Amino acid sequence: MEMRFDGEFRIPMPRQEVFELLSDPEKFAPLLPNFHGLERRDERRSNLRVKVGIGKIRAVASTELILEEATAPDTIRYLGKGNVLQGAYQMNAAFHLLEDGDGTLVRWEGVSQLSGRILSIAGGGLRGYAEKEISSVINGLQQALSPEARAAREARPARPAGGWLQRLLQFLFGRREEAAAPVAAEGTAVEPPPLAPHPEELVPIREEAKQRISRVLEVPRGMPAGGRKEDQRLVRGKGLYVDDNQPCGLLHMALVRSPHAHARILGVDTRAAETMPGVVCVLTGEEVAGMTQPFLQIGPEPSANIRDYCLAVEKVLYQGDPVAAVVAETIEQAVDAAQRVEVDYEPLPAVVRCEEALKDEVLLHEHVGTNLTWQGVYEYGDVERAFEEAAHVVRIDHLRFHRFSSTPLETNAVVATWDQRDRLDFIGNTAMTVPLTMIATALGVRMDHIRLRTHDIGGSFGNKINNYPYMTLAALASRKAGGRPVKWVETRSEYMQAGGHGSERDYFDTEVALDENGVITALRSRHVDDCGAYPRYEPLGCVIWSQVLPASYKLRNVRIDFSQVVTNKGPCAPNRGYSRLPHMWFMERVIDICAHELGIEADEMRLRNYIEEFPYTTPNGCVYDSGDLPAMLARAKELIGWDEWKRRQAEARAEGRLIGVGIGTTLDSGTNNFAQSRIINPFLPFSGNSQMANVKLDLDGSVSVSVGSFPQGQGHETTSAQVVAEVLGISPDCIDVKPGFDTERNTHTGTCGTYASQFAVTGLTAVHGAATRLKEQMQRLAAHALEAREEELEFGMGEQGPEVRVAGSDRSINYWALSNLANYNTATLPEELREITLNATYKYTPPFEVPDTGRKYGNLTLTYALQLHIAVVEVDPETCHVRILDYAIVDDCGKVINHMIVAGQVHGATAHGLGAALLETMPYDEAGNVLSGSFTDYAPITINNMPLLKNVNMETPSPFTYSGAKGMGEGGGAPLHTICAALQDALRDRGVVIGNSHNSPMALYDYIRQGGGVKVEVEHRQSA
Amino acid sequence: MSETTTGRVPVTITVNGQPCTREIEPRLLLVEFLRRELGLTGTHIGCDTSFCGACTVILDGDAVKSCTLLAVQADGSEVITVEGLEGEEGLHPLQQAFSEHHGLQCGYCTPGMLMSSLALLAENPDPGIEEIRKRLGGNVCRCTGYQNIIRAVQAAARALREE
Amino acid sequence: MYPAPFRYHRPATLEDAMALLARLGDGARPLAGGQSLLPILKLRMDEPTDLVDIARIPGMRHIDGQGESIRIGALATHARIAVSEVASRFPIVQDCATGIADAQVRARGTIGGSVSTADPSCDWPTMLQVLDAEVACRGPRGERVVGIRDFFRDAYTTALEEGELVTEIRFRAPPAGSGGAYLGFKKAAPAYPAATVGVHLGLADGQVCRQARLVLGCAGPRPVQSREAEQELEGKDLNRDNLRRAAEAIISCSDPPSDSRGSAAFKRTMLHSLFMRAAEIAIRRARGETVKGGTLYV
Repeated sequence: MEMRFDGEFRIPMPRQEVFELLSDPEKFAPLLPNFHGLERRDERRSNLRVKVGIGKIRAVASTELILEEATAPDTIRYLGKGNVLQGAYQMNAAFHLLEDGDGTLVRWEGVSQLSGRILSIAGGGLRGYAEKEISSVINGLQQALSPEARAAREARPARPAGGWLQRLLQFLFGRREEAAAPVAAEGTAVEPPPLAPHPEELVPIREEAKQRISRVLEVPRGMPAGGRKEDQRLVRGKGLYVDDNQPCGLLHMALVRSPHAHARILGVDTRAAETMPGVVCVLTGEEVAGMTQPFLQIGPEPSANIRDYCLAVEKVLYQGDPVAAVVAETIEQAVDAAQRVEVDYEPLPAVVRCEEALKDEVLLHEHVGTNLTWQGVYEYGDVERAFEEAAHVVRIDHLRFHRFSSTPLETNAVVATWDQRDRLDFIGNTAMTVPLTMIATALGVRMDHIRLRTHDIGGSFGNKINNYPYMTLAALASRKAGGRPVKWVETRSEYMQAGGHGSERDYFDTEVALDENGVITALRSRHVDDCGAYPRYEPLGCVIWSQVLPASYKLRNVRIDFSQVVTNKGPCAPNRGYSRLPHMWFMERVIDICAHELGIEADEMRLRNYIEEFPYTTPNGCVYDSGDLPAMLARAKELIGWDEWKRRQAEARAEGRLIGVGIGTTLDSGTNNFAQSRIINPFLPFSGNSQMANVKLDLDGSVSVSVGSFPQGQGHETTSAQVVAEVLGISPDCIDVKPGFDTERNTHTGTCGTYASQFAVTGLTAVHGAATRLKEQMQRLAAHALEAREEELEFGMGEQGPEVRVAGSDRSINYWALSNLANYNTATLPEELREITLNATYKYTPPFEVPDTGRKYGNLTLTYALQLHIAVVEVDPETCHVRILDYAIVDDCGKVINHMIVAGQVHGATAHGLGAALLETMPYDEAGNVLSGSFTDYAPITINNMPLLKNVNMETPSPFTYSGAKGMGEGGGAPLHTICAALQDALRDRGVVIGNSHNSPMALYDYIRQGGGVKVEVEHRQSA
Repeated sequence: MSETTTGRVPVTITVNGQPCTREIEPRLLLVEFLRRELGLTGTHIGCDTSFCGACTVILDGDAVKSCTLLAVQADGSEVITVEGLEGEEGLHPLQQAFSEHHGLQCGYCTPGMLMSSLALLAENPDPGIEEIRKRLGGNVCRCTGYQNIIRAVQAAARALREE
Repeated sequence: MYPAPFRYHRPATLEDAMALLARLGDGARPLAGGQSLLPILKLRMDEPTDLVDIARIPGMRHIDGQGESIRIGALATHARIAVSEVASRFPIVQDCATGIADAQVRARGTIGGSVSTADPSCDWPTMLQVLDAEVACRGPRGERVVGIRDFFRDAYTTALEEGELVTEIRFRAPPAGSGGAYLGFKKAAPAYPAATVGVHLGLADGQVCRQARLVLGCAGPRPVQSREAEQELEGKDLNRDNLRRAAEAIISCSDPPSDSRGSAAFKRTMLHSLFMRAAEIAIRRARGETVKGGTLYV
């Protein structure tokens, strides 16, 4: 936030005297309002302390005042910079002195920059007050130089200047010191008065409330019928999240983060912090740069040269960029000490919009020479010809997809131990695939010397992949602390600044060719992704969207020029629906805008353009496996009561009410073909994807499963047990699935994990494969033990639990006995059965090929779940408040493995989409200040904002998976498309084109007042 | 001892029926007292501005956010946490209902949701959707879209009424 | 997020609390429910040297809702006020008490704390100004009663002097044939409201306005009230035109900051919308109807 001040005033004082006063802070500073102290550092520098604040929120602002110029007799320039209320400010002030009779005319001008968290606290409501404070300082100076002040000053008895100031400083600093060491003053000298107990009058109030609770607490207990396996611990508060780990000798890490969006680091002074109580060590950027390699970059040259360390080195590139880490015995001590780390910054201009970034006038990574991290053209079919032959051409100048985040409720966190054997142990809440590679190469540690475990994870939605810099930092901290475990738990405020938000995308110069029936024949457009300050995982976002290049539509001619830039904002990370969601939002906007312009109803427009035949090969070679879009549309219309709503909409319109009905069709592409990363960087030796699982019969005859996934709430234990139980014909209750992930289980591959809506396919196919292998082994053993042929055996539940029996007989063997044969009773086995381990591993590799990177052509993903949503919204014509009157969902994820879990994922993805569409946004101001710095300001969607959803499933099984199931967890962001379509429908008579993905009432209000933003032109051509 | 730990004060808080006495720094939050001093890690922290409600516990009969209270403020009081819901013979009807109706996914918000729901049912044995919204408005869930939480609370209310 | 260290005091009496606050000086803060203070301390936006916990002082949690003079002790919580006789007698009180933050915060937060914090988006200050409430304070120099309009000096700034505490909120029961409503817009229960409006109207013959009290919240550093706007209604017919004129008059006195809850222009529009709704509810309540008011989630 920049504020400019200027003015002039006349004082009856000779110019030379004014010059001497203004060029000497020791003379004028004590005259300032709320002056708190001054400390001279050298000829030009001094530390000025001024008390600032509003009402009860008071703080001392410490300013480094630098006399930049003092050219007698007429020019004085100051630079002031400092910190206040978790923020930073910088002020440039210039005074020009002109002789004016026997007095002096002082002309002054000042520019002041305020940055940091203060700007987002209380919704940015403190901003105005900050402005007030700064003007009061300048006014104070003016007043100090006024004749009255001068008279008062002269009337004061003369004292030696030094002594007077000295006493003042003693008084002020003395008090401050007392404040810094609160307890020493009283705790020792005076016996503190006792702490008051609850007063008598509270007894009946508390008793009444406690009895109310007792009535619902003292009730019979029981066990749930149904429910997921993981619920058994989670509803009891027995989940194990990162912060719940309290190993012996644990230390805590707190970070010092930049209040500036872009600044050069001139110095980091950790001396005061290091002497604070409980502090074990402090790490700085310079230090970590000497101990680690920069993190691997996914993108090609020149962005491959980006130097990304776990702490900022030389420059900070976003507000919240970590600059130093403090490790202490308790988290409170670490936070106390982090506050005492002094960082000297030279603020630089910030780049916050992709258009500015593309100009390369201000560079983030200077040695790279550009802010562009990737650029490439995706062109298919004959776009030129299609435009030549078009009956209509629709041009849309600019659409914009906003920054938001699914904000998992558990933030990024890690417990890292670099032990005396030189091995690393991480308890974390992120995936393994990318982070482990990043960490191992940065630290120069063999991957097998790193143990990574996850237990329960409190949601991730893709965001937590950006945890790896912090994991690396915690590991370094542990090593520096002599191998003690170090815990770092991100605060929510930190998350809001730096925690892996979804990326932004702008769509420029879109042109759409349509035939005379409104069928889209071609599209060309220029898309720019804004990935924040460091690309990290993001270059992959430059290709992942192309998994759904034509969305649900049959156009064959497409040209998209795709770029990605870095800006001075928090580094982005995948966010539920990653990269595809912004693209499908764009495609749905195109469909609705074209329908609107050509006067075709939204449902009809879709029916004319939907892909009809499945499997369908898209123009870029992706294969949509199965689906029936017209049937889904019909089902959704029936579910919501389309005709009835259309009738009510017309009635409402006649009354001046704005009701809109919108459709959103979307795809959730699941199971990543990692080979697509070669389209971004041909040197990446990746292709395909795989996942591993292990199913074993343990010594006691129990069945246990371990999978290479990192579940974050998706119920992998439940569905894995379900699959194994089906194979063995037993109850899922008999099967234990190991919670979380552990590299030491050795049931993972390089690309395993929980991402890209893949578990239902990759994870469960691996589980199924391993269970089938185990069953084969058990069958061979049982045939020997029961003296039967394998074909005669059947698996199932016996009277004493799981068993294998000879069909139609009373001969059976239970699992314990089978396990005993293979483990303890091996001498009774014939040679050919002695190899049996009852420990079966299976690796599933989806049938992918390497794409043609030159043409950017190939199958990039295995399955496509389809979602079709319809929303009815009402917009308040005055306040633009949006009310969702009805919401219907039809979901087709192929064969449903677990209906309860599928419905839960649909609900959750819908809530994220609705939140993003109407409530959640992470705006930055021009200077790069985060304006949604806390949960209170961001306001993630709550129960009060959620409509009741109507949802049903259709099942068109995937031909590419063993079960016919498709991945479906990400949901494709349908509510964003749907709400925008419904708003468009509601506001169509007002000439509003919805051009932003975020439409909170305030955004919508300003947008409508500014004329609805987007420029759309339609060219109708004579048909040939 | 360091300067930040000298000013410890004694507190006694009865947690899930057990009186617990500790000498603590006055700045220790109730949630940290439960998690760190008592090892009751079922109560979670999801934000730092009193928004998300993951830290909700029952204090003297009321649902409160334990991250927005100092432990010293609870001195002499009774606290019930999620760990106090189950009994030897099994789970509380609310816990059962959340599981049966899939009112949780990652489980991080669940303890807070359960405690807010308990306070709601203590006051209203048959809450409608609007009443549930009013009482759970300070609890954020990022997984379920709240659909099944509403169902679970209503199912638990039914179960409790039938007892 | 953890507060910086401080000393903790929990006096048993009001006298002890005042003496402590006076002795400890401006580094000390009184702590009641802590629902506004704790988040500020956790974000280290304030680092007091001492907290004086006044929550156990007796004689300050009464809610006397009978008779003509209504008295609410400073330590009465929002939740208890919401279910009190005061709330059932005066729906505007219920609108306010049930709309503050979320159930958990309402269980701890106190009316005295809210009034003393004087956050421009707090609900009680705006609503209490509608009822011409008075704030009883006790300090080293004894007791005094401050009219609510004089109590709020600026954002987060009150007429309280060092060592002084709010002990009670008082207001006179509005006469029969009058009704009030308090409405607000916010995104979520625990979020701050973006705009709030309190309206209280006395009716004669069911349609003519005898007396009007109109106050806007979140619309400037202090609750916004305008005598001119009230005079646009007093003695006049409560039709839409007059209401609209009053709305325009009072909104022209407002100065809502542009922030992440909306631009100033958007907030004025919201205030207008809330005003018209609140006035309609107030009129219907004055006529004896039961109508729902309170917070709207948008």
